[in-house]
Amino acid sequence: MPDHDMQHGLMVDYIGGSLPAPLSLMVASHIAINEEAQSDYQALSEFGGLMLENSEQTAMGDGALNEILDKLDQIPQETARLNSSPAKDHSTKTIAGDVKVSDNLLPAPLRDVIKVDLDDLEWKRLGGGVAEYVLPLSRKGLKASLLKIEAGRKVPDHTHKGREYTLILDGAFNDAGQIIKKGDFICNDPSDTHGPQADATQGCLCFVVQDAPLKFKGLLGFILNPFLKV
Amino acid sequence: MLSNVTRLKSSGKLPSGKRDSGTAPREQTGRGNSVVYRLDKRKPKNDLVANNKCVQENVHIESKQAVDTPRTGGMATGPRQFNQLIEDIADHQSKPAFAALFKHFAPRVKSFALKGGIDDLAAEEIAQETMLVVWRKAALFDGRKAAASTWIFTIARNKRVDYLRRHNKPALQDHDFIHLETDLKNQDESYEVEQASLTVREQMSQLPEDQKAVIIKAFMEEKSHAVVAEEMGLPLGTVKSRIRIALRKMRGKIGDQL
Repeated sequence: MPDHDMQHGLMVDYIGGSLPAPLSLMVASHIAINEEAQSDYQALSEFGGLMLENSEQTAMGDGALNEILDKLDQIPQETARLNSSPAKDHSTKTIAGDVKVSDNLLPAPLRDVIKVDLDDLEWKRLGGGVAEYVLPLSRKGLKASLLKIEAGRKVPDHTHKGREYTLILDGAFNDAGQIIKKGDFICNDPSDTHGPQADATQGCLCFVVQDAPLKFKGLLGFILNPFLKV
Repeated sequence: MLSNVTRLKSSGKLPSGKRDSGTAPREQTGRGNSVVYRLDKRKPKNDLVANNKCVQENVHIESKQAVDTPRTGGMATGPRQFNQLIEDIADHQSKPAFAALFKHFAPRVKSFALKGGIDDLAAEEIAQETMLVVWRKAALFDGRKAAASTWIFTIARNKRVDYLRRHNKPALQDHDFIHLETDLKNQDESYEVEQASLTVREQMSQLPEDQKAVIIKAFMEEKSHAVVAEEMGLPLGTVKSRIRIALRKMRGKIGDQL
C-alpha cells in the first residue's frame, strides 16, 4: 500500500533540495507519472512560492540591477513553447517475457539519466525471470536500479536490511494480495518480508532504490546473501 | 475539487485588485499580494514552537521588511501583476518590467540562497542567475499552472541545489528539477488552474504556524524533514502528520482521505 506520509516527506525534501541523487530521481519520476503526486507537488511548490514572496530580503550589490540590465540584450530569450513534451507518448508495449521494453516507458527524469534504449542496457539476469540494471548514479550507501520481472514470475521471499523504495514504471505486481500498479510508490523496510509476483500478462518494470541489500529467506538466501551488495 | 473552487469563489475573499487603489505607501505591507499570509507573525502559541528558531527569525523578518517596502518603486506587485510583468518580458522584452521583478524578487532569492548556507557573493550570483532565467524563459511561463512567485521559487531552488552540488555536496541530486512549465501535464482545461493556485494559497494562509514551520524550514534551509524534526525536538511522526495535514488543506480537499 502506498505510504503517503513517506511520499510527502520525501517530496518536501525533494523540493527543499536535501535528497541524494537516487532518491531525488525517484521522487521526480513519481511526480512525472502519478497525478496525485503531481498535485501534491504543485501545492507544495505554491507553498514555496508564497514563502519566497513573503521572505526576508537581503539587499543586492549596488550596481546589480544595472549590470544585469546591460547584459539582457545579449541574452536570447527562449520563444514558443513546444506544445507537448515527448513524455506524453505512452506506448502500451508490455514487458512480458522477452518482449521488448520501449523507451517511453520511462518517465522524463529517468530518460535524462538512461540515454539509450532500454533493450540496449546491460541487464543482469538474476534468475527466476528477474533482471536488473544498476543505474550509474548509484552512490555509496544507495543503489538505484531498474528491475524487470517477467509476467507471472515471483521474486523469492526476502526481507530488507534497510529501506527499499520502489516505483512501478509499468505493469503491476501482487504483494501478498495487494496489487501495486504503475505509478505506485512504496517503501519496504526490515519489518516486512515479501515475495512480489509480477502481473500474469504484463510483467513489471520497477525503479528501485535501496540503502542496504536484500536478505533472502531459506536455502536460496544461504546461497545468495553473501553475493548481494548495495 | 471543483466544488471547493466554486465555494471559494463565492466567499468573496479572493485577492484580486485590492491593491490597485492608491493606498499610501507606508500602509503597504511590501508584499503586494493581499493574500493574508504572514510568515509566523503571531506570537508562538506554546513552548514547543517558542523553541523553534525559525519562528523567532521570521518575527524579525516581518519588521525588517516594512522598511524595504518603497523598493518596489510604487509598481503594483500582486500575483496578477507579477504575471503581467513576465508577459511583458516575453512579449515586448520589457526592461522596466524586468527591473520591477528584479527589485521585488532578487533580494528575496538572495535571502533564500543565504539560508542554504551559501556565502554572500555566491548568494548574489544565484539571485542574478535566477533572474536571468526569468528573462530567458519568460515565454515558457504559464500563469495558469503556477503563480509567478512559484515559478521563480523553483528556478531559485534549482540554482541553489546546483550551486551546492558543485561546491559542497556532490552527492546531492544531479538531474534537472521538474520544470513546472514543461514537465507537468496540462490540466483539464475546464478546471481553472489559476483559481486552484489561489485556493492553495488561501488555504495555506489559514494553516497554523507550527504546521507551516516544518515545511518552511525544510524549504528554506535545505534540511530534510527528519533533520527539521530533530532540530525542533519533534517526533518524526508528528512532522509527517503536519505535512500531511498541511497538504490536505492546501489541496482544498478537507475531509478527503489522503
